[in-house]
Amino acid sequence: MFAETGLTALRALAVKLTNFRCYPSLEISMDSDLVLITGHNGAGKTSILEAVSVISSLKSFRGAKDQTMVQWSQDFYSIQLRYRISAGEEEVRLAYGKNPGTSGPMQRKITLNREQVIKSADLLGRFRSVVFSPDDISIVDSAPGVRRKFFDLILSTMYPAYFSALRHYQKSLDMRSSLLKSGEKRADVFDAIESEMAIHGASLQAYRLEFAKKYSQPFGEYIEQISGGKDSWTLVYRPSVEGGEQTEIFRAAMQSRRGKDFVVKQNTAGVQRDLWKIENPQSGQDLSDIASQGQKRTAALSLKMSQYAYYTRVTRQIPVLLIDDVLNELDLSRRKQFIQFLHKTGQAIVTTTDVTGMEDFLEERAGRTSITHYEISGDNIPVARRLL
Amino acid sequence: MSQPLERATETISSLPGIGRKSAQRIAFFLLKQSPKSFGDIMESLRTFYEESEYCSVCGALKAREEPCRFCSPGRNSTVLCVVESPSDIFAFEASGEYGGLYHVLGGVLSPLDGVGPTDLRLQELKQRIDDNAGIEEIIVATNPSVEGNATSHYIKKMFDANSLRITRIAAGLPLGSQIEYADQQMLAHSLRLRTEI
Repeated sequence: MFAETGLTALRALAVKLTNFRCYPSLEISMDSDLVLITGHNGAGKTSILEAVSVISSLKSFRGAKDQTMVQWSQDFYSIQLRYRISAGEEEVRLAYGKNPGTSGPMQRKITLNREQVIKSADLLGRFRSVVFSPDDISIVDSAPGVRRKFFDLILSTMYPAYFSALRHYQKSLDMRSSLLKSGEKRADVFDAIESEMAIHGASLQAYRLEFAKKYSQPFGEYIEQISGGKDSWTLVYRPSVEGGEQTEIFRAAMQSRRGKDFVVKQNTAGVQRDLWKIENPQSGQDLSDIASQGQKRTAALSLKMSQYAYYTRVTRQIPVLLIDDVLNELDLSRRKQFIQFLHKTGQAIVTTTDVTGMEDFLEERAGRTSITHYEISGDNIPVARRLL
Repeated sequence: MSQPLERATETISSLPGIGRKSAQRIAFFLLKQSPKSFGDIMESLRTFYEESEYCSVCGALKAREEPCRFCSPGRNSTVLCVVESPSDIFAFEASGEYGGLYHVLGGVLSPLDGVGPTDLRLQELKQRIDDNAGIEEIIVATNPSVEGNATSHYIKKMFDANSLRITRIAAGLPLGSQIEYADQQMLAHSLRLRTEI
């Protein structure tokens, strides 16, 4: 997909975990194109991917709370990740908890290169990764809010202004909603709050429009590729306020909705109601209504592959892929296509129960790429044994 | 803890920004004072309390029996700066940059806290503008929060029919800061609101 040159690849070099999930202490080196982590179910493979992804997005892709990731009966966890970017090496340490034996609040502390303490917002975007997980299917197959959240996260880590507009929009939305609930109908107050909503709402909508253009193209292409030309779906962005990327139109739409909103006592229009639809390009039917499980899986995979393509295109840097148990879920032809894709990407960290069925993958990659292979085993405390 | 100490601590910790520990430290500090200096501290607070009031025109803090110095004829009466609270005036005065009039709102629009236009000194602002043809510009200097911004939209709309210049204070990078260490959101904001040089 990337004929252009001038791209640099991000690479995780080593990760060190302390009191994270089932690991009292673990340190593994990852300096190769393919990092393979094998082990039986529940051995602790995914926790390693999870830790790496926390450095990217500040949260668990399994939806776990910080507290849940602290090893049982411990006071804190820490993740230390060393990685290489175009400018050189960096090391981030993210700790959550309190000092042992103290009674302070549980808090997060992020340190860059062992000395500089940075804010959470300044960590976002430093180490970009794309997670592939069996749960991804819920992104294509759930209520619109799930997709909105997924794209909001991508946009927020890409554009700080988007993140701040989102927060301010939410605040002004809450203000309007509390007015509606209180039965207040003063036009001048609504005018003021809608003006503020419109500034942030229009800005969010403009970002989403631009984003949709760049994202939907690779999405369509990957669907074709993975399905061997059998499937065809398009990603469509349907804003709740048509033309609302212009502040004045957005504001006017809010104003004209008042009558209706007074009756139902809630906000019925705005970017919180925007839709990201995955539909059949001919009939316009929704993927979640008509697609088979396999087709949904293809769409979920393509959505993540497009995230990879988008990051690469916009940041000119190839993100790290974190692939959790996805390969075994694919049928043979899809797996073959996905592996084709992996050959062209940068570093991939892959967990799988065993390498059976992956010989073709390893064979194709061997020679051209370097491979590190860890096997996780152990009854209570998992141990990582390096095989390759 | 003795009962008088308990009571003193309780009272002092009811002040804004003072927790129990600081309150206790202040109580012990007061106890260490000579009767004279303790009397001076108490007297100064009592005088402050008894002799201060808010200006009925601009809402600034002033001494009872004295004219408001922010409404005095010596100030530039063509421009009026709208602030949230009386203490904001001191911040602007300390900057030495501003010699115009002030108007204290006493808060900002915040439906979540039940604060509406009638809870603010907006009617007084309207009256002031109507009575005073000399005012040419209103600077809205509420905090750059969602509530502060909504209030600025409200004020803008209020004076749509007047031929007034309504301006909003700028927000962005602090002067003397290093771009390299700047907050990303702040940086994005200051880029969007860049000005011609």
